[in-house]
Amino acid sequence: MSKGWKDSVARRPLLAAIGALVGIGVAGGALYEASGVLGIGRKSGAYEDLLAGLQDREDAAKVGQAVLTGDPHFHTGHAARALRVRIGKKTLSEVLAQDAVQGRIVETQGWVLPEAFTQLCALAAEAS
Amino acid sequence: MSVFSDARTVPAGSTIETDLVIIGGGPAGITLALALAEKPIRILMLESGGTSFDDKTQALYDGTETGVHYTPLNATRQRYLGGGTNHWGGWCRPLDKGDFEKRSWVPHSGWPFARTELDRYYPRAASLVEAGPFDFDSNSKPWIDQFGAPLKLGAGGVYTSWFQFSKMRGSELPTNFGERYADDLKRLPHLTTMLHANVTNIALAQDANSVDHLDVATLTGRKFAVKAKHVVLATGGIENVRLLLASNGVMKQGIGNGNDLVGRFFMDNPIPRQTAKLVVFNGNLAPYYTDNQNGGGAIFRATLAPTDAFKRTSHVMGSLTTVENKVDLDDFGNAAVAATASALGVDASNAQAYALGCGMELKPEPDRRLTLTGERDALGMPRLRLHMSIGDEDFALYRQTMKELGRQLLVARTGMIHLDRSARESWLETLDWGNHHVGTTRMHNDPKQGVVDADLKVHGIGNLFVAGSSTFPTCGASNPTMNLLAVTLRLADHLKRVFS
Repeated sequence: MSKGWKDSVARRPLLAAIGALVGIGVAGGALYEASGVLGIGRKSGAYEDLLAGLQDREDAAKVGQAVLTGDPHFHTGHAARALRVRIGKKTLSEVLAQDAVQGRIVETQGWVLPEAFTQLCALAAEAS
Repeated sequence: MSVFSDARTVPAGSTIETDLVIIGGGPAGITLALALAEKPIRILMLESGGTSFDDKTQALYDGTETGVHYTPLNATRQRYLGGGTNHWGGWCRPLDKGDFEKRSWVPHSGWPFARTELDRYYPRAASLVEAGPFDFDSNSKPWIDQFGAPLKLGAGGVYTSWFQFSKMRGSELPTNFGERYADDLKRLPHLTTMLHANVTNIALAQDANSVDHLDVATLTGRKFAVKAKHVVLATGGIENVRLLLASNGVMKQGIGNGNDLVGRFFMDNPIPRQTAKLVVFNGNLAPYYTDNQNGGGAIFRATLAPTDAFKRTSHVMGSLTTVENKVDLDDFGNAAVAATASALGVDASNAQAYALGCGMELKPEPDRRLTLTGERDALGMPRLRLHMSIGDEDFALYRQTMKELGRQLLVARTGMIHLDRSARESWLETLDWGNHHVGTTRMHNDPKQGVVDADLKVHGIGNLFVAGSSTFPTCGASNPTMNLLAVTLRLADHLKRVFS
């Protein structure tokens, strides 16, 4: 029995474990997204990649709470997916300015705001 | 130098003959008299009041109001020489080019001539109100260097425009035509200014094609007649209606009212207060936004206005938004500003919020109207009732313009807008009016759509003209005085041709 075989055998459980973890992770992510699709509330760091662009997260969450209150059908999962696509490699400020240029603005408690910003704020409120 | 004539001394039952009678000694009447006085035309200007306020004369304005709250009819003007300039704010701005256009989204819109028709009269009109050089449309203001650049806005539908103000002398009010031009009126050889002279009837010839004479009365009970080749009615957007409708001896519906238009389409500029909040991220706002400033030979103030292009594409009405006082934001507002600015990558640690106010343009509405009542004044003239209205759409359209301003601030990353009012009740809470009386003898080349034609002649009456903002088919958002002077100067040119 070669050493390499032994090593190979020894690695199998490890790879299986890793594979299982990845599978659990993917399934978990899917389930997480599904929970969003189903409108199930949650609090986690799932939007950290998006929320990292917010310098003032506490205030954003206040705005986001108003967004969620004003729009009971707001869908965090959909919003997160759309934001990931929209932001891509752009900075948040670029995206918001683009929203304003293109007329994608919404009104939240009387404040005229870029649409993407209100979506981010809603995610911040969800995550807080 | 002569003195003013006094109608109370005219022999009762006499008839005065002249070339031209101007009924009303307000800004339109005085401007017309001054513009024509160098011509060999005998002019008689009849003014109801004297040279100062008098309770009994003022009471001739008494009337009633229905509909949304409006200034009592006896409080919107002071009835003595100077008319509408006896108490006014002096705000001057020409109408926009688009105000003259037929706008598909504005029923009954469209003047019979373009703004270019008035361009040659505006400088003189600005001179008469002593508003400084006429360069409202110029992009390079002489005061920018002194006071700083306008608020930076992204490309879009709202821009910084300018008011210039009628000259204010220290603590005095803006140019009062009765005082300012009294000496000129007295000096002109062909002009007689007669005070305390109330025209109570425009008597048509039996064929109803021309004015035969005017019946004049004083509050002291004296009555006499005036015969003239031509008559110009210049008593303001409310009293013009009363005299035309009450003069029903030959035309039972009233003069010029064969198509039931006299008194309809009353317009004013609503002035809702605290309509919105403007937040400037860096806290720096040039002082000409919040207060009148002196510069370049003018007293001026910035305003935020929709462009004609934006009006066309968004179907909004005219509006002129002014920045008022500094205000504090609530906790939510502070959070919204802080979070938005940081997300835009802007420092808002010195952000400042300001309350906004505005003057709006109403859509012409035939049921917003003046009608005669059964009540009579001291001269036996029927009194008026004004039915005033403002639609939810009027507020909604202005809100749309403010939203556009908010968008442009975000594009420029210079600030934000908060819309303070939404429900109708909220708008009405602080609603004031400009007391600009517009539209009641509207101008249109088609007699079925207008009381006067493009030369301001009453349709069907050969020698009767109307001057003043009552002839404006639409009111725009700009204050009417300087604009009605420009239209009156145009009328003066027409009358010069008529008399030549």
